[in-house]
Amino acid sequence: MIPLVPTELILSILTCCDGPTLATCQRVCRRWKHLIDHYDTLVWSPCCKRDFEKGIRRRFWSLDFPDPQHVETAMLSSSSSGALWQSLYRVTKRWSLGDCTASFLSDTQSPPYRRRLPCVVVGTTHEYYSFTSLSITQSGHVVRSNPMYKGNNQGQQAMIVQSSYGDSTDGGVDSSSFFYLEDDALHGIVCHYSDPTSYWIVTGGLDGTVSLWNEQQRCKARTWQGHRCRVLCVSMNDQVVISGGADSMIRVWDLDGTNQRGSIDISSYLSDQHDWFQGVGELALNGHLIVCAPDASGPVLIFSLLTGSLVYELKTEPQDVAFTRLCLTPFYLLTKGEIRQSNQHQVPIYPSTTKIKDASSSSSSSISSSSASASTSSSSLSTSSSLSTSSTLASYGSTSVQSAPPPTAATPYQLSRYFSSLEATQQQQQTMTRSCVDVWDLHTGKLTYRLVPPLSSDTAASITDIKVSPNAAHVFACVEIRGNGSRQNQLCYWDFSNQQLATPSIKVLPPMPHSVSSFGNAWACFY
Amino acid sequence: MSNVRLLSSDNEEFVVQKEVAERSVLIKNMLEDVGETDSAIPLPNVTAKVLKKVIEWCDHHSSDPVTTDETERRTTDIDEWDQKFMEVDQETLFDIILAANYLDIKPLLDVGCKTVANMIKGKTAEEIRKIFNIVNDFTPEEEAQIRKENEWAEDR
Repeated sequence: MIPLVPTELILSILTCCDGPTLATCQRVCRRWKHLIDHYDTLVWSPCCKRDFEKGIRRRFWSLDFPDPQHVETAMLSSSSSGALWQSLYRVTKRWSLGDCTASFLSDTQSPPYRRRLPCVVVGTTHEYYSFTSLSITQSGHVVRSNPMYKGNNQGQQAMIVQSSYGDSTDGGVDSSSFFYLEDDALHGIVCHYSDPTSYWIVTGGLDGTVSLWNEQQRCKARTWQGHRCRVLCVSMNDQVVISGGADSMIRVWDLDGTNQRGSIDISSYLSDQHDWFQGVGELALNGHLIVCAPDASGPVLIFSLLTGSLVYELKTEPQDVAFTRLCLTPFYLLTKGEIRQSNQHQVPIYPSTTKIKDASSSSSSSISSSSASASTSSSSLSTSSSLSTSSTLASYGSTSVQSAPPPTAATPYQLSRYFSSLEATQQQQQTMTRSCVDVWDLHTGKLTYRLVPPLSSDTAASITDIKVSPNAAHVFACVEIRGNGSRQNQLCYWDFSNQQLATPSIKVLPPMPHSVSSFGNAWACFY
Repeated sequence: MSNVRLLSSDNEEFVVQKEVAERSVLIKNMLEDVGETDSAIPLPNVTAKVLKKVIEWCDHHSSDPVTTDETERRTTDIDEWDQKFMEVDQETLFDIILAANYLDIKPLLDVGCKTVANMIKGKTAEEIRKIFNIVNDFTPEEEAQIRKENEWAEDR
């Protein structure tokens, strides 16, 4: 007969258990369930670290289980239940299993926008024929930058910081809900980055400088010089700012000082076969790793932040693919990918069709029913015009801007993709491709699975942007669905929380007054 | 080297080396409070059978450095000698854990808890209830709800 075990001892035992055992223990009795939920940090944090960090300690880098407090800050709201570690464990576990559901957020003209609720912001990709990029700051403001934005003093370039909480019910921009961050020194903002955990905004300039802005004080705090030509992308974490330039250098700057911490020349990692190579196309960063995609076809390069040494070189077949839309979760890297007939069986595709729930968007259901009624699959295959270029400029094929000149800021590679995408709209591509999100396991450096939108496989659609919520529970992708001469933008999302968390709503950010734009694809997400 | 006399709840006396006995923080503090003494220290919560096991463990681990390292505690690996040591029936195992808790011997408590954790790993909720002698007080609806939340943990 086992004596009554005191609570403290049960807790000590529970701290030694792994996740599945804890899940079983929650079903034992009310007291145990209460203990496991209530002592969330005590019970789940050792379990999270044990189960997920096992074997990923390398000499110069590691993958850390995220700090739930940090994640909660990044979510900008306190919508979750309180059992933070437990809920992160579940989400992380589902990631490792590829266990998710996919659906379209049904109404892009969202219900009345309410403060402090999960929300995705969709903006415009190109205004004034240049790209607009979006990000979120600590205060919940949306920062948007476009090389063509002008501040209050006409002629000076500016960045717009927009309050997302403003009531812009009429679709216009309320003048009180945004302000300009102006650039006096003709820095020429090409790209910017901000993070929901800090008030810093970092920008990359046309003249090769990198600037740090303080959103609260609405001023520029620091400028670093080093790149020999245009900066193409920037990112940051709570210690360093990184920038990638057209000079093919990644430079790492101390957030607290004027020093350059180090630099990496990526051109030595790319062979001659990668044409058009111009520079560092995209960057992503976590506490230990720098992820970089060249601005052309070529492998994704992952470096240790500490030493600058190469950790992984990620490639797919065929090799002429440019990787774009890099997104990092604690243990995975997401990139935009495409499934071709030649490679569709190599990697598992999630969610498997049986798991797709409420993919009830009218377009997808009608498309799938029409394809079912088609007599042979080959006939429907030839009639559907499938085009999914992996270029960020794919959307330039859209009718509204087809006559527009190419953006002034485009690199030769981007220009080449732009013209090839124009051609592609005229010719029907013979090869069948499906747009998807590639999920790379940072533990092994392998492509582990692919996420597909809940569409029938012969629907012509392309993913134009990818974002992950800070808690990694949701992955969002802007999907452009084409059929019968019409284009439709939808926001697809993959839910790794098994519907434990609230469904986010969408807020469509209106374009600035007098700009030429359409519902676009660049977007940011926050909670 | 001085010896310490320990008295179990069923009045059996054990003579152990001071440094072995001092693996127990409770005894260590007691000795510091009392100073040099010839009288036996009474341990009213520990039976002779369990105390013998505890002393055996302390004796084997008397020269271990005191680790407070978190990463050490994080692993669920148990060293070979401890595994053998813990090959006892469930009742004794829990007695040892309770004694380790009472005597404040943290490393022994850890080993005991890890052993129990390994024991319940892979067991069903019903089997765990049996081990801990717990009555299921969930309604079927509640249980179904929790099961649904934890689908990921099922048969993977």
